[in-house]
Amino acid sequence: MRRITILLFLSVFCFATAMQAQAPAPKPDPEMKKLHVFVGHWTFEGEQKPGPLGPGGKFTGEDNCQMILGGFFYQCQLTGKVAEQEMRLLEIDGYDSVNKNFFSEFYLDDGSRFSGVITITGSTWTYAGKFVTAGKQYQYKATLIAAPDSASFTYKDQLSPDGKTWTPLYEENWTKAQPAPKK
Amino acid sequence: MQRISVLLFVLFFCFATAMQAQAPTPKPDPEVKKLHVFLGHWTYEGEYKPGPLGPGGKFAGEDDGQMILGGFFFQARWTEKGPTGEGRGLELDGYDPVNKNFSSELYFDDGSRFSGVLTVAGNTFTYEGKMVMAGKQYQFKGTFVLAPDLASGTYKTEISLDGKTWTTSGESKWTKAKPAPKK
Repeated sequence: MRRITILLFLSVFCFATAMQAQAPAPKPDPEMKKLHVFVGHWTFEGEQKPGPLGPGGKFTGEDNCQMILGGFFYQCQLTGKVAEQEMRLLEIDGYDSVNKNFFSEFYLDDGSRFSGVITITGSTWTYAGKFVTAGKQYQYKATLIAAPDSASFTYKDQLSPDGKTWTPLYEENWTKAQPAPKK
Repeated sequence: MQRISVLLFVLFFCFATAMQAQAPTPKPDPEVKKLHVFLGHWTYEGEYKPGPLGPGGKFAGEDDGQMILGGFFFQARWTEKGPTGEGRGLELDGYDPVNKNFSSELYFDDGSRFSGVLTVAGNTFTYEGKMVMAGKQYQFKGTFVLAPDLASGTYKTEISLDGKTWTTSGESKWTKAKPAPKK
């Protein structure tokens, strides 16, 4: 009887250990795949409208986007020029499984910061949140409309001090760089 | 008279152009310097307590902090080994001049995310905000107490489901790596 007890104990111990060893590593929510269309190298050109961010001017640049930290988050590093003034931006996005939406954070090299959410409806992406720049807080919204081939999109954003009056900020056309041909 | 007008116009134009060229580039708020104590390479070791976040166990890791985007933001990347294996993460902090506090975002490679504020009182750095982990949202509090030599510290983390009852989730000791001696 004692042998059976020991055997049973060992079986349970081995099973528990095996189960623990096989505990599946967490995987990104399938929703994250929606961000995969933007992975890669992008170029853009457009215009900064005169307003709170400056006198405006031509806006060009490039953006490199990749999945990071096991594919749970999406990161882009943008470099651009606004009226010959260089700018850099870091973007981190991810899926919030509790609130069932995407969050988005922008960090700019003039200290500005956007923090908000992205909602996706078909090929239209809408960013909404707060934008702190030059010591002031604004409401921010942006609309990204992707082309059917997902290789280009348009982006327009706006700022508002009160959520009622909105001022255009940027308008851009983005194009995904073609991958180099296979040799 | 016409010559004087032309001269005045030219002078005004030159002055305006010079003023535009000298427009000061934005500089990080002096408050950001409070984060500079975390720059460099740190090692840490400690223990996760058994609880809602996992079975608990010892962990050890290293953390590299640097200023990014013109010195406006602090970024740290860490790697650690703990009871559930290896883990990596990314921290991004910055000063919010509107709300007069630091924003802090932590991204973990199991998909967890902390989003909140960081307050600094003397040598005590307190993180407070929400932590989304394994599909659940917790309130999170982290207290880092820096030693007077600014080269070591203790870090205690707590979580709560309701903001009233707090459970210690981890405790660790941190040490800053000494810079290599000058040759």
